[in-house]
Amino acid sequence: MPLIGPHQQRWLRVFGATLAVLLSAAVVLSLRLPSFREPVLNFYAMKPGEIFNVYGLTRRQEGSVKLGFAEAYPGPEIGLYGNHIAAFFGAEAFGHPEDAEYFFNYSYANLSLPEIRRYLLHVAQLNHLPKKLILIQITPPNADNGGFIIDHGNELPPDIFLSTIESDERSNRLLPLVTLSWELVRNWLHEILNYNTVIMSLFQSGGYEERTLSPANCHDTSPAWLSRVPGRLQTILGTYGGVRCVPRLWTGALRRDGSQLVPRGEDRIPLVQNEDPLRESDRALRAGDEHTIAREMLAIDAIGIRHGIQVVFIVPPVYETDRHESVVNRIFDRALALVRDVTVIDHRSMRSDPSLFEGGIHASPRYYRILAEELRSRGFLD
Amino acid sequence: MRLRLWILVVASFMFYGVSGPEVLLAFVIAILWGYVTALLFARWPRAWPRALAIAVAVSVPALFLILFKYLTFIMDTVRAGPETRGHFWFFFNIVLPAGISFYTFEIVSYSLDVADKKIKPEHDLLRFTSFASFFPHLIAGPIMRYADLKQQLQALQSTPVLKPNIVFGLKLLSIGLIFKIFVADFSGTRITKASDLPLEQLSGVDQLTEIAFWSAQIYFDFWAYSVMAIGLGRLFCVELPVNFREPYLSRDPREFWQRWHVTLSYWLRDYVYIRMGGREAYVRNILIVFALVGLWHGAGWNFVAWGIYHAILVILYHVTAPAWDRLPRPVAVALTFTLVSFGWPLFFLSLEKYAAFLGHLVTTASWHTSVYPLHDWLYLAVIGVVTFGLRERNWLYNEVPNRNVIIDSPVIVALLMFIGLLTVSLSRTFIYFRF
Repeated sequence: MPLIGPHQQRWLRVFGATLAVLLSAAVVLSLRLPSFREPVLNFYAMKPGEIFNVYGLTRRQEGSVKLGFAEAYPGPEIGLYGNHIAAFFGAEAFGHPEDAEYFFNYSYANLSLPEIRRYLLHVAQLNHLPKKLILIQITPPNADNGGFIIDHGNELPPDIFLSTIESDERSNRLLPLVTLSWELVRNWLHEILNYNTVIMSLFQSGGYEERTLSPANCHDTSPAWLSRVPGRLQTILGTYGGVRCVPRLWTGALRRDGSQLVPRGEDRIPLVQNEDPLRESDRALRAGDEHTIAREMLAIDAIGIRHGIQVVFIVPPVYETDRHESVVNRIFDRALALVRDVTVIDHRSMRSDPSLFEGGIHASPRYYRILAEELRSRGFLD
Repeated sequence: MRLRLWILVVASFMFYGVSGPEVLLAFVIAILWGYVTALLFARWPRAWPRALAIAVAVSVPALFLILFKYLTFIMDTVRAGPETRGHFWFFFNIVLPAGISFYTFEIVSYSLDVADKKIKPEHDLLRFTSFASFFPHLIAGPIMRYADLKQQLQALQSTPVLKPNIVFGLKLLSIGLIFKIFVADFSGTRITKASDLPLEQLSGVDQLTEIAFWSAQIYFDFWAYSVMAIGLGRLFCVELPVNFREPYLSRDPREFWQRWHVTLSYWLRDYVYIRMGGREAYVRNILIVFALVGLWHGAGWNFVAWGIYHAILVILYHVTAPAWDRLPRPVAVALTFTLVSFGWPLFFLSLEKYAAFLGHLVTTASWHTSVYPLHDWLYLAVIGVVTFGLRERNWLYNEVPNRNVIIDSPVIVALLMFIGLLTVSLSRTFIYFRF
């Protein structure tokens, strides 16, 4: 007896064929996208004041720009590893404006501790770790309700998983191959089955040369009429029309030291207090996670110890009212109590001064100057 | 064929266990409690006075519900200090078990039905577990009664060749996914356009637009989950009931609750309202039932206020029914929709913020500017056409594909599925997952 009738069979054949064609097209289109990891953008060769425009790049491409650089070139004196929270941490905080050889900000996307550990292991294998100091930015618990501290969003390319598997503690787990395979499949799907990848593969334009520019000189090339059209149209025309001197296109642009250009005017990120409402249903940390956080921190610290480099963990503040008693904060507190031998600069209490923020969860350059001063006073910069 | 139920149960537990071992353990204990108490009620019926049976049936699931969901609310209400809270730290740590309110109600209703001799107890633990844990409806409903699912579960065990309606299931899955991402979640992003700004910067038009987006977000979020749950059920040869019957087309607040989250309404009617005496003390009972509806939706005074607001609407209709029923249908529908919509902000705002929100709306002098551009209103207009202009029986729940309905085309369904898969990263957690 057939499971389904002839009508259902016909319908399913057409449905399956259509879906297969569409999915195949998505895979083929994603292969068209340049990686931006190879060839490499040499940040060291950028001139002071120049930016690398990332507008219209996928998250993976954007991360690959820095990853490729970290793989190809030796690290600076101080390197920062983290995620978008630390995007505005630049070398000027140390009094070395845009000095990429002194400080480089390797942070991108939503990297969490396990991904940062893999990233560092990968870079360490290439002998490209920073020379003096490794700064690890941890997502403040109240920024994303405990998210992106130990859970991760498939931000690293799959080969990083594979290249670090030998030294990865996951290989000691039960069913390591199943776990790894599942992570690789998720990682691949995350990149391929993504509207951004498909759209960008159709419309993306501009390589390193077109994307590297100096905002100070841009007014010479930007057509006057462009500034008169609505902002959103400017970005579309700019992106797909090859006109790149539009300030709105510079959102997220990378400077020579890897930090992001701080948005100005109407492009500024709105300053929202308590941006994450910390809903119980969205909580990303639960009891027992303190041990995972501590284990990841110790593993990262051990990488520094093996290579003779000081590691300092940083927990930036979030613009919020007094929410220290949140469940995720308490779990994180317990994690810190488990790693007393690790150096942590915990600035969660600096939550109320608006000048320390660009948006509700991103610390501002002013905050990083304060942080750099503390690093100096505690002797980490000597 | 018993293997089918095993597969369902294992898959459901794996699905639920992702939230953590503690919540899975609590879930298993609640299932076992429901199973064992029902057997005891049936074995020694005279040993259980009605009140005692109710107390026993409700005790453990309700305790879990209090500890996992309402503890913070209770502590905040009694203003408990850090020392008192410290005693309960274990429970604060555990992530709110998804769908705890749903499975608690299902298990309790089963035990009570057995105690009331409405149904016979299920001796087959596997079949009972597959009822309580059936994953498509586990997280956000509908709230099933055992009597509704028993025959279908028996059929799963005994029918040699099952004939799932895969076409209908895939269609509902695709449409649910698209509406979740492009209507519910997109409406959520439009709300922040106004809610991120201080109230003083908003005009009356902005606030009304915000309310309209809230109405779209909440309804289509729940609706989309229900549609997908029904679709998933069909793939497993299980028919789940329609939980949202075009509620925004209701003529009055009472009808709204006969169309909105139907299985919850009927649960509260059967196990709370009628047991309290029903119409004998109508106003009191309605107030209590709707306060419970509010609390069921969330642990906060804003949710209680939302429930009482609806109680007042229902009582208002009860009192004015002769006049209300004479209103032309479009006017009655518009009035009901407007009244219901003004309650939705309580899902997201504290009582103080809601009062300030309404206060600003009433006193604002600004009605000529808006932070919302034209395309946002066009978008709302399209949602309005779908909500008020289309009847679901013609385009969604027509089980046999119709050549004249474009959305029944396999090419269109495949395209919707593809777009849904590409954009799934834009989606947010279902609002009902909090319950």
